[in-house]
Amino acid sequence: MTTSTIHVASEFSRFPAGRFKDDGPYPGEAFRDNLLVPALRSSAKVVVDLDGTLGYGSSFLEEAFGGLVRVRGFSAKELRARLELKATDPARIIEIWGHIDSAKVERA
Amino acid sequence: MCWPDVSAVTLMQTLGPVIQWVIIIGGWIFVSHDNNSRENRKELRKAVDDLISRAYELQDAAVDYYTAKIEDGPPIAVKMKRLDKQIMSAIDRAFGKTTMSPILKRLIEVRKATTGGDFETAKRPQRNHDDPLLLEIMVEVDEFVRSIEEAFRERYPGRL
Repeated sequence: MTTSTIHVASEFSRFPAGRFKDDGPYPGEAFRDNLLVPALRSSAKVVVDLDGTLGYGSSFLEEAFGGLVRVRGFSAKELRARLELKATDPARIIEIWGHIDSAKVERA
Repeated sequence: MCWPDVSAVTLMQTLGPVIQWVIIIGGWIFVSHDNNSRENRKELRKAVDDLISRAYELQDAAVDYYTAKIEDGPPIAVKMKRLDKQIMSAIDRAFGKTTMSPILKRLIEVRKATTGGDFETAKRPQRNHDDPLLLEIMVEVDEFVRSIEEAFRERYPGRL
């Protein structure tokens, strides 16, 4: 069973910001599509370490993590089993699971 | 059987100093405990006041952000993220990071209101001061402050 670990600060950016690719260089959509989705496709388990950045906007987190359900078709149940979040700020982890649990699939 | 003749006076002479010491030590323990409790309460109140002031600072920054032109937004967004981190540290200093505490739940709602939706997006409109989003931010910050005060009152009930 393979495990991938993504350190947001070192592998993506210390300054993640925005929602869509038009919003800037390090938005949630880019984090989701360039790092999260490939890691979830190639590994049984994915650990995301959120520490070390300037901070996160909820818009970034909703697009990155809620978007896994909304746009990329993962189920919240599957993500609960395969995704692990690490952060010194416990509210951040609760918030992200909230985005995942409340996201609705967008596809027609 | 012959008991020794111990009069009340002799008994008091014997036990008097012991009772005096018991009263002195007991009093010292009571006063010391009360002082410590008062000092701890003062320290927590100071931490709580600091936390509340940062929460209102975040609210003001969020209002500035959403009413600013889009090109003026980024530095305010950075300020908001730094304030958010300072708020989390202040919660930790005051109450510790209790995973499911009502304060953290309210903080998440503040985060969603202040940095959700079109925060840091290219399509964010410049809003008016009576925009529903700004009112929502104020409501969430007020609820957050209320949860902080409640946590303080739970720790030190019945004192003003």
